[in-house]
Amino acid sequence: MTTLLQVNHLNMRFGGVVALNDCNFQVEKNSITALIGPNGAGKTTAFNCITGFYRANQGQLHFFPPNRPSVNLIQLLGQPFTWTDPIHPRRTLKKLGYKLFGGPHRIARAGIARTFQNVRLFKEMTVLENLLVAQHRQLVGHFLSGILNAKNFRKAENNALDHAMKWLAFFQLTTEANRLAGQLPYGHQRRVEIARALCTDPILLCLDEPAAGLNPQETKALSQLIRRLQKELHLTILLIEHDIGLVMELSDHVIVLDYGEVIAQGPPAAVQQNQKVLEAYLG
Amino acid sequence: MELAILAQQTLNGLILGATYGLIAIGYTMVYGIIGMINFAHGEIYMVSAYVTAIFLAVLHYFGLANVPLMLLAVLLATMFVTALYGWFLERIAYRPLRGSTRLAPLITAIGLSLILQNYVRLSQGARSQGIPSLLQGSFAITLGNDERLVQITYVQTLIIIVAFLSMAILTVIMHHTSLGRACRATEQDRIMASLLGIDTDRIIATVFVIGAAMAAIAGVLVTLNYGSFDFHIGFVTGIKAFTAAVLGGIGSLPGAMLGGLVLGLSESFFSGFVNADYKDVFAFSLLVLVLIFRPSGFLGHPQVVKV
Amino acid sequence: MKTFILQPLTTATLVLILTTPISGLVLNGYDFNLKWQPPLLLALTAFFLHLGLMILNRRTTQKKSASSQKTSHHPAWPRLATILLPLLGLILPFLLGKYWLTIAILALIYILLGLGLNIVVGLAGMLDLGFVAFYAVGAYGFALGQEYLGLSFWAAIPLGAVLAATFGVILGFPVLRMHGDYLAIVTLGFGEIIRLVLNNWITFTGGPNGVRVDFPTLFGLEFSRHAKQGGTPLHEFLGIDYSSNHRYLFLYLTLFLVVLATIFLITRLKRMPLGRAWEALREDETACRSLGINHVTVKLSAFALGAMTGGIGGVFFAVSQGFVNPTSFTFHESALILAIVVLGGLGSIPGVISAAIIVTVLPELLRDFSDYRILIFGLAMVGMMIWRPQGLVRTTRPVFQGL
Repeated sequence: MTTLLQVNHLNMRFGGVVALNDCNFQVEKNSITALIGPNGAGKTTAFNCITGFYRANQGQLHFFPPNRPSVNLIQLLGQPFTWTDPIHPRRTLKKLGYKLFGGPHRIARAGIARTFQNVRLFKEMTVLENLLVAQHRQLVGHFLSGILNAKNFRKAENNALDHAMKWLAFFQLTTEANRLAGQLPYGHQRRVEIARALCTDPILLCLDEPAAGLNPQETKALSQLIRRLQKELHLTILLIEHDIGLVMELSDHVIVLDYGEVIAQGPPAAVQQNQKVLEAYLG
Repeated sequence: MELAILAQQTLNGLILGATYGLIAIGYTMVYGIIGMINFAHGEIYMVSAYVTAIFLAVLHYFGLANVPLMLLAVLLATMFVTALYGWFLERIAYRPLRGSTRLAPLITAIGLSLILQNYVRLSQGARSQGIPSLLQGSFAITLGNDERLVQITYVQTLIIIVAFLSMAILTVIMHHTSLGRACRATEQDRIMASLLGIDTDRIIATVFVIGAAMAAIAGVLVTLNYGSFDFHIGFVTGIKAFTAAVLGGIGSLPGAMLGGLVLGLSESFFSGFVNADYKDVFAFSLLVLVLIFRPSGFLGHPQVVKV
Repeated sequence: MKTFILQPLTTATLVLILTTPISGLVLNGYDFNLKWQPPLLLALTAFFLHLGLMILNRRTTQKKSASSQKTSHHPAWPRLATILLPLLGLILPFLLGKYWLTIAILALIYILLGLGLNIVVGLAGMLDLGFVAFYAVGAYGFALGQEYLGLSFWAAIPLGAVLAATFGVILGFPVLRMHGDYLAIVTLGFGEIIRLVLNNWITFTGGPNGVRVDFPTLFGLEFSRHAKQGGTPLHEFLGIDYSSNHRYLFLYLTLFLVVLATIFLITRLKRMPLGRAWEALREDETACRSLGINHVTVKLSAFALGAMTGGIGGVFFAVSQGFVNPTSFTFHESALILAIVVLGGLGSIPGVISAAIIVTVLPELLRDFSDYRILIFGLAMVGMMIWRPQGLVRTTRPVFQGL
């Protein structure tokens, strides 16, 4: 097992509220890791730090994509300037670059895709367009040929369409391709969102409560799909979930957060017996 | 630099700033509660200037000669009518569009500001209007052994007193009454507030009404001070008051007052010592710079975007 | 039934109280005149409007279950129209007199401006209230370039576009990372700054007096009756009689080509990754960023392209007027262009074109109403947003078939 994501001493405060306090955990490659905990434990905050929507106050986040150099996720967000900067002009320039052009999109490009707790689709666009937007990076280079509708643009566009259709087929959404995303039933919207995240060709897929609002059948189908993503497509999945049944059934590794701290982690069976975890959930 | 000129400019700045602060309250409260800029707020101020002049003329027609009584009556009547305009604005431009796209209410507000401007222009004519000066005379203050005097007219004194008094009253209302509590609760979390039985629609309307009433006070005071106005004044004053709100930290009530004073003073110094032609350019540049470098202003909280 | 009278009656009373001071008591010096008709008329209108809306609302709530949602996938603009309309546009100027020709040119300029702002507001969802700044940059860029550097019209079109885009980028880069509403107010401020500088920098821009602009030449051929600098007038070259219409005809046709090119460009962009990214940003910025899209650069591209279109519009405006001064670039102009985009339906190209034509031609047809022009636009903007936010012409989504 190799580590894909390493979280060290992660701290996040909002004003006086400590949302994350010295969190340490790692996500193994090709695993399904679940982040659980009571409401307000800091799960979504941790997620937002990892995917770059919040800048952590302290700590390190390192991402080790296979066959590529490792990525310091916090650096990608742009760090504040310090008084030692003038001594290292090159480092400062790099910092400036990240400050100007950095942000969560850089983390997405590094190979971390995510979904949102409250589904965030482009509602006034069709499902297919949603999935095409996710492939923006692969397509945007063909500007002039796009204006002229030249062959290589059409080819790239068709490839993107095929790619999108492949994921739609995976999630059994092919018939919905040309419908407006906002008009789909909720369960379908959730799946479209995952499909859209997958269109970015991620290495690590972060799912924020993927089963929220789904009925038992839908949840079961979803869990099978997530399992297939791991087994057949060798993706690594990090998920937040309240449905403990789903977590226990699905995950290889469980991290329990309470009051912003990691109180337990390990295989699901071991975590289930942990005294601290029982206290956190019951008391 | 002569001390007297400095003092005079400071005084002018304070007066200007007090009126900006009063108008900025409308922007900042509306922004605090619905997270949107009320683009038509400047026009509300413009309407209040007209209403002031009209009520003065009406009172004069009925032969009221007691100046303090007249001023009080005009102030209250203008506040009432202008507040009604504020309420109407919310009812037409904002309430029907709650829950629609972010852009829609902004566009209706711009539409309404065009409507108000042209409604006033068509009813009252395009030329500038005026009121007779009611309070004449001034205090003169000598500074040290300087020969020159600093003039404070009675109207200016009145402006400073009324502006600060109304800000104080508003602060008390917001912090010590159930209405103020409901406003602050709605500002924090509208859904939660409505679950707790607060009629949030009514609170939002109230905020528009309060904002308009504060703008009306500014309208009365400025009209008394300058004596003339036209249907254009809402635009520039509106942007400047918005600048004041941003400068102080949008959403913060003391911020609006502070921002107003800072803007008023800096504008007054700029036009006094640098270049009077470019004073609007200066104010707008200040707005752009503040928004770029410190969008949370002096007293605002940096925004945390909920994901 | 009682509420059906009572509620509108309350509204009418309120409107009466509201409008009496402004429209009923008209200032006359320090005195006032009483006019009782306008407030009563307004109150009456409000009464019937409210009543009508209530009846309408009851009808729609009864009907609602029947028609839940319609899918909007049908080609709204048949192919035939895309061929016929440009042809019509080409023939049209030859049928018009000088007066209507100038109005047609103005309409084309507004189409161009509307298309430019449509990219920013309609597609990318950023409210730009200072669009007139880029229009002014284009117009003054050409006028001053001609005055100081001898810039020609043909060079001014691309240069004006680039200059306006540069202004757009300089303004946009710091501003676009901020909260959406702030953009509106910053652009508003920027538009005013540009106008005030143009107005006050008298030594450079001529201040309120403006700058004169010479009419361009076509391959060195002049459009005047007699050649000024020893060149050949166009009518002599072609061997036809002189007509003052020629220059407007020339301007119309050039502008027409530019508009066609812009329409083509935007239609293509809407189907391209960049255009999709604009719309996606309008829908949800956070989601976009989670997909690896840099929102600042994508917004900036929309902003710059919009500015560019505005700049080109400005160059044509300067030429068509023969001179520029700051009064052409007030906030009202920005609001007018915004009204065009809103009335046309945010994002819709045919909508913007029809709205621009309506907005420029209608006031000419209804001369008596020219005073009420902006009032009506304001009313239309409000009404549009409340009842038909999708605009006169609803945008259609591309449908991918055969998959």
